[in-house]
Amino acid sequence: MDELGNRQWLKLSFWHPFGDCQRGQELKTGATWPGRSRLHSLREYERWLAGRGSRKREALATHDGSNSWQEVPLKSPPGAYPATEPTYDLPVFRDSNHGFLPVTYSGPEGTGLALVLFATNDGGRSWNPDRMLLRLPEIYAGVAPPSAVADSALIAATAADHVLTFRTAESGIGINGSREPAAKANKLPNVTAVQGLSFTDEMRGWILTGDQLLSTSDGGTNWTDVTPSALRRMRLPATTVKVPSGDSSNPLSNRPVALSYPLPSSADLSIHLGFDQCPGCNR
Amino acid sequence: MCAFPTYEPRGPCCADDARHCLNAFLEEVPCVQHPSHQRHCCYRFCWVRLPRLQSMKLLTPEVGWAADQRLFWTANGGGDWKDITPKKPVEGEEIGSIFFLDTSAGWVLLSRYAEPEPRFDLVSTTGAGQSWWTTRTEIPRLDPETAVLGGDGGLTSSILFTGG
Repeated sequence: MDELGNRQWLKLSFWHPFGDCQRGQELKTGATWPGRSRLHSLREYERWLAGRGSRKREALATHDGSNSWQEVPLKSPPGAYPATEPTYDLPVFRDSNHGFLPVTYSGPEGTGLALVLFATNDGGRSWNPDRMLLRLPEIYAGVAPPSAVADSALIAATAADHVLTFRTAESGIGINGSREPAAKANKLPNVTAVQGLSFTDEMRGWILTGDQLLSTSDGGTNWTDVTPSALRRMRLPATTVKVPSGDSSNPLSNRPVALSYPLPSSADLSIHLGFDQCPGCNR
Repeated sequence: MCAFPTYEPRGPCCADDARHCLNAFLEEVPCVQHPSHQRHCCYRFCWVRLPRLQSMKLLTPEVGWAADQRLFWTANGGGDWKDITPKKPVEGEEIGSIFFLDTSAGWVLLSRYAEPEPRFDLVSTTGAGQSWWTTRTEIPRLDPETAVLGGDGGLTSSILFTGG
């Protein structure tokens, strides 16, 4: 056993709460942490699971170390209507009693999404809507843009036409008819999509876009590219080539394929198109 | 796999150790070599994984990590980065998921498709990636493509895997 105690694993449970759509397994270490005491997380036997299965969407919680799971009781706020179809995220706990659970509600086409942050003061036994961001655009049908809960703020960001739109909501925003704050929009030529957010508080955080990691320290007013230099891409002019036809099983046949390339280090830039046997590649 | 946005087509597919292969016109052509990139085949066409950020986490206002198939660490908000990629016990394993409990302790789930079950290795650090320990982990019926690593701290620690 190493100092982390993670050489010995005890299988606690295996469950299929979402039928064929989500499954999980929990492995628990058999040792205590050596003097490490960040107690912002849940109690030892509490776990949370959020999912979106083929038959139903639900958030599940266990309070007995995965022996039994119960559906998390959540009621959508009236202000989210007509977005009523929930997609659950995992909760974020500030201490053993206080936490937040983001839920995105979708509705009829064109109505946008409602991102609701539920809050708990009793370790997740009960939840109440605390704040809400309305009319968020869908990434695609029913899928919400990335969001984050940081400190006491709910943050969401979207990108369209190279404009990064940044929204935050404090407690009470959007609930009971209160108005949402104005969104901050930045024209960023290289930003086409937002893939993820990570914020430590309302002001400071990162946004992951297709090729870039952007940083802000003023709540989304200004952004700096902090992409590791090893991952910065320099694109050569796109090349369009035609893949030989004749293989009906090949989805690329008769379809131009646009190729773009990262800056080569020692890589061969020659492009050889065609098909051959692939004995070492099939898995 | 083929439609995964971080893959791009790169020509005919070759065996791992091949230097030449035949194209559609039965011409012998050199294989496209990308030793630093993961390679997958689809419809006998070779796709390579491009170095592109796939995940990141800002742990404190200054400390965070970002990863493609390498793992980078910053202690000054992204001003400077250090490559802390753990050594992969098996060639072809990919970083599937990353979880840091704090600015020191973290885990990386490495995986590779294999028969009859995928191979998983869990590597962990208590020194922000300065050194890593590897644990071979059996996780039956879990798809490496969708395995997600999470966890929590406290008096005991646990790691949670889920896959969809």
